[in-house]
Amino acid sequence: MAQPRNAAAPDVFRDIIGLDLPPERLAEVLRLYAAILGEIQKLRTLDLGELHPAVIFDPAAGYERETPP
Amino acid sequence: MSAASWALPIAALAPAIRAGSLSPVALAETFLDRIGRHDGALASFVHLSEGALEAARAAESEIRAGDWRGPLHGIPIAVKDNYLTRDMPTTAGTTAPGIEFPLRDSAATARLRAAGAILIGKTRTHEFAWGTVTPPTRNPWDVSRVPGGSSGGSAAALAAGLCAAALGSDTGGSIRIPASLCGTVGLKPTFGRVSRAGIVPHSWSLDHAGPLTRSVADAALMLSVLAGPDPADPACSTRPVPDYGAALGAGVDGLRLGVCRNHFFGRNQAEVEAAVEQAIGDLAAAGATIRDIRIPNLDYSLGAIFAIELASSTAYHDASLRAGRTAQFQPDVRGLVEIGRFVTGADYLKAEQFRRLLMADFRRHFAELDAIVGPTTPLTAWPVGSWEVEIAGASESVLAASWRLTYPYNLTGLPAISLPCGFDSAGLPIGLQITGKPFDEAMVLRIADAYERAHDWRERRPPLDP
Repeated sequence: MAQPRNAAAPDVFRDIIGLDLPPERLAEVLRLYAAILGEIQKLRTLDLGELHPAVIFDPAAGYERETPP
Repeated sequence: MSAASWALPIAALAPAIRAGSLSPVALAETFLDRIGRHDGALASFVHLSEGALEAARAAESEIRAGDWRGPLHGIPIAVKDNYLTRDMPTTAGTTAPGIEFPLRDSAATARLRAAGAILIGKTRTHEFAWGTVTPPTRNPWDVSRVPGGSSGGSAAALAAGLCAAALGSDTGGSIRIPASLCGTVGLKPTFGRVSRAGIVPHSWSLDHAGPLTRSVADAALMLSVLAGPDPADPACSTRPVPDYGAALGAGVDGLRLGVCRNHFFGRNQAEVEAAVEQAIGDLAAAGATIRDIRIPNLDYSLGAIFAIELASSTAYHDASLRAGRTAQFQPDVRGLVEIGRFVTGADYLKAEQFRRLLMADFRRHFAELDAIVGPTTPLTAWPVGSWEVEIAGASESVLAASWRLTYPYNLTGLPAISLPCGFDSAGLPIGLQITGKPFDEAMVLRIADAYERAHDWRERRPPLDP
């Protein structure tokens, strides 16, 4: 388990993204991500304003119909 | 029985079992014998049930005593290895150390057992239900080719006549893609129609459970048993379960079918596109009205499903990622789980916003349509080890292409079925995909059944020894 670093000078990948990998593996993962990132960047260009996300929080679900975890 | 029992649909096996002219024990032995003879080349099973014959003997005794539970009683069914089972180990396709799953039944396997089905074994899944190739399973139509995935073991086993039906799971197409590539029927019901409790999670809001079957009528039989409420799955619907068999045989005369001309057409292998156009023409000739539609927002859908699927999978595997266990995953799955860390919270929620936009687009079209038809996959089964394919004059990753036509219905949660609609010049199956309104599986099954009755594709068998 990685030890927390100084919050004032965080490492972007290890501390912010939470991916603690050796540099060569990190480079490989970033290369794999490139094509996917292009698609996500396209999604980011959409202005969806106040449209509510599809996943909807239901505080009563756990009381009415679900088995508690 | 006039035909080999292993080749018959459940709809033909069940009456024979009920009447006593077919023994469940003999049927289970037939499938086990075929597994012994053919699965060395196919590698579709990862575990065979030690209790299958005993369960078959019990089913036979019950039926002889007049206690017939229904059409699945005594029917050998295979289970994808990401469904928990009380009497067979579950691996979810991983050999990574430190990852174990309990011996208990998933909701779906419990329902099948209660219906009297014989769970004959566990079928191979691509690790953690990621991916569309399911190594090392091979396609029975050509063992040099992939069966698709991630339910590739279920589809290959069913196509080869090693079980009468199988369970699969579908997060971006994992029931329909292997069904298309292996020439079986594969049904992804509406999100929430079938409980996912006891299925190893992949992406909570995209995962669907459903059957792979030899015929559309068998899909209706399986869904009738699998569907229903389950408080153990927070997403499982409490809507009543209709009689899925009631609409079979009603035909398509007067139905309104949409064909989405963007996204689903124009980037398919020529033989796939021709076979699907022929199928659409056949449905029109049978009385359906065909209307071309366009859904431009599908251009943004790949980013949306990547954001949701990657973030969800990584959340599920986070403890393994932090403990270093993901280094023992298969290289492709390891990379995807690590990549999920790059999806931001804002990306994820924007994808969930987009999902509602896409759902609204489909809803508008469904106001004037009964179903949407198109291809299941842009390509037929590709050679093992091939990662690029030329489609419509452009080179493309087979993994990117293989789920392009299926994942929109995971984003929207709509019911979708794949059934054979022809074969290419290499003798490989081509899949037709039919999609309906939420919880209108009956309409999807009705149209698929009408198409299936008018064609003999399901009578063809893979070129295996008898």
